[in-house]
Amino acid sequence: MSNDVREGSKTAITTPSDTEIRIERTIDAPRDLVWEAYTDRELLTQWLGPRDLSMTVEEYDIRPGGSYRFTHRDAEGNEFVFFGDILEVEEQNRLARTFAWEGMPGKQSIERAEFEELEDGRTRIVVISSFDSKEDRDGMLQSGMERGVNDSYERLDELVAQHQAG
Amino acid sequence: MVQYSPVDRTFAALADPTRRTVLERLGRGSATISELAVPAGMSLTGMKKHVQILEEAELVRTEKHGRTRHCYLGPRRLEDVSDWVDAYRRTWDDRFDRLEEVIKREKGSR
Repeated sequence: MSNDVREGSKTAITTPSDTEIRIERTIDAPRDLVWEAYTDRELLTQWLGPRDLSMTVEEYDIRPGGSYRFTHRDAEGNEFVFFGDILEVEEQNRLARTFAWEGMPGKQSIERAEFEELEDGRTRIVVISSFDSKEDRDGMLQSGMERGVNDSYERLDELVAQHQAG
Repeated sequence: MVQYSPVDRTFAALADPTRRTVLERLGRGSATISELAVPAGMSLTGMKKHVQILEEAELVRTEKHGRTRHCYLGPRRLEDVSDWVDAYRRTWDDRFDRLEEVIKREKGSR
């Protein structure tokens, strides 16, 4: 299962190794604008979070040594806080950061995003997330299933936490 | 009556700690309902219900040998990550679609 590209899906998710997830997507916009949407605090809130959750950004300091922190809130008031440190910034080319969720203390992954301007004015984004173990990687993949079970966030959290701990 | 997709069913089946313990136990080899019930401190009837939910999600299969039901890991293994990947992809598809929308709005407002 290393090349799993589906018809009708513009995003390709692959697992180049047991501890990585690779995400590739071509965006129909030039690279400077994609970079802006990716790194601007206000714009970020408009695309990053799930549609059914509100999002606030407490910190978004995109420079080496900087850090970020944002919170998703659901209708019941449950909060999901994500945070990390910025490891590497190469304007419009590359952004590397740690990524952690408060629900899983002590666990973090490293996310490296690369932005490539294509000849037709579109931009290819490749994000590679690296985890400490296969269990951590699988826990993150499972978290995507939250979309299918919107009414059971708590159970999901519990499951993922258990999976991570186990 | 709510209709659950296979992914939902798998997830619902996995959402319960007893059922996760059952899967861990069966990962080490088959067991009868009573061999699963005793360490969980449950009645046979209670454990049968859990096994049935796992069976519906194809995480477990059972065979009746005489009067005893033997449980095995089912065709849908936890290692089979294709469902997770599919859901994960939809999340990112959605996210990047919105990234495109945001940029179009920004471009329009300049």
